[in-house]
Amino acid sequence: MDSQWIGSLLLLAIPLLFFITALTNERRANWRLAMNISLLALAISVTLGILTVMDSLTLSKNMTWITHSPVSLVMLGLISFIAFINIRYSSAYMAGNREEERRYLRWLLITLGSVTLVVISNHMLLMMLAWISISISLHRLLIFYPERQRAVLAAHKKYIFARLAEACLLGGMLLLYYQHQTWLISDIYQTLSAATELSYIEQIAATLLAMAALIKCAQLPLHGWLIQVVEAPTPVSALLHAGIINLGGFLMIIFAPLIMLSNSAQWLLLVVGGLTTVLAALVMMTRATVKVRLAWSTMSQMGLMLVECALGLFELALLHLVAHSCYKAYAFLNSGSEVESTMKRRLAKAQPPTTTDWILAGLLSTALVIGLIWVMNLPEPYSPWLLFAIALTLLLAERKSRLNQTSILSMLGLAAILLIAYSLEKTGAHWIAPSMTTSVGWAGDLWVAVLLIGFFIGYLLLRYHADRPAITKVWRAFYAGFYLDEWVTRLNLRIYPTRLPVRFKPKKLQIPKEELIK
Amino acid sequence: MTSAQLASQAQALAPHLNESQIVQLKEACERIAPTWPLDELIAVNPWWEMRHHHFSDVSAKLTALTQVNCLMPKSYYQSVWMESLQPQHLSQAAQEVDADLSVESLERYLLEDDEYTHWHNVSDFVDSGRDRKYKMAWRDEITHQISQFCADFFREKPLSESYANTYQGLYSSWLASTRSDKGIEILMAENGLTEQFLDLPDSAEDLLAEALAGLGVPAHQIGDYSHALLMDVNGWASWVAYLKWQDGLQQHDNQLMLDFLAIRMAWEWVLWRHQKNSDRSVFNELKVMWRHQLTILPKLIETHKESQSKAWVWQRAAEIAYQSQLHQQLQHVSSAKKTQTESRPLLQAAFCIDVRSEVMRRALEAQHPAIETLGFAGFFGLPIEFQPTGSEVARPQLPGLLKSAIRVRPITESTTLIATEQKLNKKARWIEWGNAPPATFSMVESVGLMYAFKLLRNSLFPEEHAHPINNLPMQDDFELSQDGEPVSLQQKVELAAGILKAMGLDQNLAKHVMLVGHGSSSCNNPHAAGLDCGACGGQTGEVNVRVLAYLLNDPQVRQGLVDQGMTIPEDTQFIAAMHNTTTDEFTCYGIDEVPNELQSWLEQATALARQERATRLGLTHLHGQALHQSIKRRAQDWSQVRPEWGLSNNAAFIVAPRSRTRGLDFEGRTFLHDYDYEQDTDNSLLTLIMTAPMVVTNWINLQYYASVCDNHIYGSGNKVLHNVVDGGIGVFEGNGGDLRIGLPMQSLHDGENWMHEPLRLSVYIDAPKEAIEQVAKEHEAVRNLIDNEWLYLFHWDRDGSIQRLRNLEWTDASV
Repeated sequence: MDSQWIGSLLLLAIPLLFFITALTNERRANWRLAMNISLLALAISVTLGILTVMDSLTLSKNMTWITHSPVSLVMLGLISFIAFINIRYSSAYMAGNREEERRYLRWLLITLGSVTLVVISNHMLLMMLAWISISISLHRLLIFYPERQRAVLAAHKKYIFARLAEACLLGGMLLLYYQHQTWLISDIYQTLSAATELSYIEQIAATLLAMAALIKCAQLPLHGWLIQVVEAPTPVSALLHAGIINLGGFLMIIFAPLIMLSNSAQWLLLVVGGLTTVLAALVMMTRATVKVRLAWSTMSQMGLMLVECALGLFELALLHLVAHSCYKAYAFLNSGSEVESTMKRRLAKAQPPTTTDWILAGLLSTALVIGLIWVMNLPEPYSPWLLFAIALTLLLAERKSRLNQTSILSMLGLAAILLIAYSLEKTGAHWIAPSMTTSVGWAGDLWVAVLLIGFFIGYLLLRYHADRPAITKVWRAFYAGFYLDEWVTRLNLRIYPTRLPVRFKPKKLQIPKEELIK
Repeated sequence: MTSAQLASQAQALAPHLNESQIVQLKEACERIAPTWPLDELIAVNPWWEMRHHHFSDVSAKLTALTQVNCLMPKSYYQSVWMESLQPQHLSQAAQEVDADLSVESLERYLLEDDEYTHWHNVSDFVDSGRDRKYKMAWRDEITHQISQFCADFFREKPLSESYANTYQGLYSSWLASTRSDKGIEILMAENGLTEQFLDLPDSAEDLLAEALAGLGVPAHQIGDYSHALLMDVNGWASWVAYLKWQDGLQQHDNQLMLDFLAIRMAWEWVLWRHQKNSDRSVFNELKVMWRHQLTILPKLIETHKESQSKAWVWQRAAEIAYQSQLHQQLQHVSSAKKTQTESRPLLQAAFCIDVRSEVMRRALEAQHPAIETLGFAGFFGLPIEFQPTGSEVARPQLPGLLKSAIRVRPITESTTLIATEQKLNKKARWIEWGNAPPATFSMVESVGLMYAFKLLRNSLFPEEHAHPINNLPMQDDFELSQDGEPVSLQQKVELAAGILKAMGLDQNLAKHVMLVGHGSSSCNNPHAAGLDCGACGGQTGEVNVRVLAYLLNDPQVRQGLVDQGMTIPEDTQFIAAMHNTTTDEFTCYGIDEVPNELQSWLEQATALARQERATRLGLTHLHGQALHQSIKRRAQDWSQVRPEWGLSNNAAFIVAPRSRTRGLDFEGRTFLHDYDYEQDTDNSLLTLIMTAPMVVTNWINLQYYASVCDNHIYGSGNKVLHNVVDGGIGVFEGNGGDLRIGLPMQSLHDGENWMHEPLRLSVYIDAPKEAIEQVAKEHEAVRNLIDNEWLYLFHWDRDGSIQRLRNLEWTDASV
């Protein structure tokens, strides 16, 4: 038995341990054991990660259906980490009713086991199965309180979309198998890395996979469920937004060479993902509740991640995926602090920047970013840099409160630090998931750049001119999410109806006979 | 035709509200109690605006109209029967109502099925005809639609003069946004619905007139019908009531509730007409049922009243069970009348009347016989608002019933001030940058990984919770101003003199007089302010005690007091202190070093109090330092949904000198207010206590009561689903539904059992009967509370006997 075997077995042990622990909660929720398992999973993924980096571990020839690829190990580490935080958080948060605790932990562990199984599978059918298992076990968590009508409706929608995504995924995988006569993702990856053109069948497969990723990432217009499942307990939202929804991006990364050769897949991601990025982010501005804002924000972040994939920037997509997971898990788990966060903002109310502020900020941040590109001689695409320049413009311009302002120099210093941190992290990620050349080339870059400029203008209008009558109308449309979800919901109930739980305390819908009234 | 005829014809076409309709509508709009925002969360009696009716009448009406429960379900009484509630309690309760009522028949009642029908709004009727498998229910959709609109409309805006002004056009904005809203028609699968909104009148009054005429609601039933509609969106109605309340404090007129009612009424009217156009046969049935229902409504309310009468006996019995045990305690000690010690006490400590103080006061008194504690409303009579260092915003630090008069600003060195302003600006701008849509992506990509460390820190190494405002720099030096003018020395002296007299601290002062405010510490808790001091407007009492100590330690003020005939001994020092109700720790302010003796008393008292508190927290297996650590961790834990039990289980309010209750264990269930009628010859203090602290305790008591009886309407549901609305208006449970008010389940229930026993407040006053009667006579609100049984009022005589006042008559209540 060689060392590869042990590595594969250890990896496989992670989902298995999660599944087994799920079964140990028959009498009472065993939080401590669950926490230890997640820590063990974290330890395994970190150790294997280090070994892989040191090159003392390569993919085993015997257990080829388990992968040790760096991307998978990063994902595994991330999920184990989120799992640990989540279980620890839930142990106090969900405490109280024994029956509920047991039920919660059981499905949480099965979900976690399924997610870890997805990221370590190299075999397409295994991945497919695990993927279905995620959706089914997550469904139990989403309707954790089955009497909540809206939760059930949202979960029902999600259920249908999940089937749709799985159909796309399965279709894509079968086509790939048909073409390559192998179920192993690594083999397909290698073959396609050398290829310069795709067959007709592979084109369809790529498009199907891109569609699966878009649906999984709750992109427009199939996004409604993601917004509405804030009906589930906070840690479930945290897990969903940090560890599950980003699997769409993971899918694109492990099939990178395929996507990079397919114009249609790239354009699909660029158009749907790009529009979702911009529109969802602007909708987020108009929403009034913290969790719903976070949900719209996830949609748009996922949109950007997919756009980055379509631009061939897989390192950036991976960085985005990991960083966003940490950020969103924190934001959800900490959403009870919204009241205090609002206090902090009210203590120093913003002073709108003057035109001079904007121009100065725009010039400085553009100079900063262009300077970096020029010095480092950075290649295309440039649209992500444009996005960063816009962000820095905001940082420099919106620096005043009504009583005080931070000097532009210290803000510039902060901007430089952020830019450096970003570049370093991007370089680091490049090592795990290298960027690739796209087939659509500069056109995609240009499309994204145009979108981003529109985005910036939209932000300025909604933020600073919301009281103009025309903008009020626009605001309403954004607040309503363009009624897209209403159509989908109606269609949903039409095609595949479900019996919703009767509302809390239904009224008796009958007038009693007179003699019954005393 | 003459112009007058033309005008009258026009009138006939477009109905107008007549006088009696307007009166009825306005009366209905007055029935909803306010709810405060989360950062100033204070307890409110949800039935406050209906106090002039008897509790059981209000209960019957609410149940008939909207299925609200003002009583516990039968299963609850089943669970306490023969345990805390014994047959003698039940038979005594039965005697009070009807001598013929037997214990057996009451027992049988707990097994009987007595569900009656309820009032149906038009939307409820329409729902009955819908195919719920393919379509959404109207009732929820309407609540959701109004709720989502309100969440957007009631966003924080710069205040222009009054709230009525700031949020004017509530109805017209709703109409404009609903007219352009294609979503409802799509979602509800009702074609032609949008057109119905286009035909609605443009003003709230016209809409109400048209709908009431069209639905044929007779004038005398407008009030109840409107009430039923408002209760469907009770959360937001309570928010509108809050805006009205705030305007009321400033003497501004506010009619937003009429607009709000018009929104809900518009839905009824739209559905009615839509049904008429789309499905005539269903509509015909609806029409007849609706007419019939209008005629039987008074009877329906009667029926519910009758069916609830036995439940009220059970409720009364539960209250008797508690009272009889308390009466035994009170009668017993009173027979051994305490001799007033004239010698100087070693320490005096003034606490808030809060039930959590009772535990701590007992623990502190146990340290030495010469330690005195006293109870007073925790804002200590200071009508202030607080403007923290480095900011321009101020927050009220007094009960919600009152309006602040004095603004307090801490005096800080200019360097600290500027540094604080800068820090606040940086923090606020950073938060806003991270949330601004075009920046949020780059924020994630550049610093998102930092959140991994934050996740780890909060999970494994949590820090002490730092409140954004309370942790700003503050020294014990304050600037007091009124309407922009500094408060004069004379005013300060008068304020101080009034407070000392009210507290009974105008004589025999100890060397150390502690003024103890209280606050809680919990993390990541939207309802955190609800655990702070209600008398301080849902803030910690820190500012109040520090300002008061600053005033009373000021030599000039003391000199002024001497001129008023009030001498504070030279060596007396007032020490501001805070009692942390979560961890039971003390913090002292404005004193370089706490004297050793005092320090050790405080430490031992905290240990004692903590040990007592541990039982309810389920931490009885821990002791001493381990217990302390465990509770401290609890306060820092961002995932803790039950940091402390707050005021749960509160049940009584005792107004008497502490010497009479000292040594009694009230289990943290009583509010305690010090009062000695011998020092109050003109009854002014008694009047103050019965009109202010007694009302506040009633609000707290009934908030807990209501949140337990009907958490769906009066409580805020499950904390694990909470979703903060607009940074602090309130919470939604999940994605939508109505705004949720009141207490979350986790503050009342440990997952298996209720931690609050819903009992109406029993108030005991040690004052002459005539004086109590007099105050009740003169103050309508007080009389309402007593006579309509929103609380029990007892006279606790110095000889120990206890008598109950109701309808200005006394009955013996001794055991």
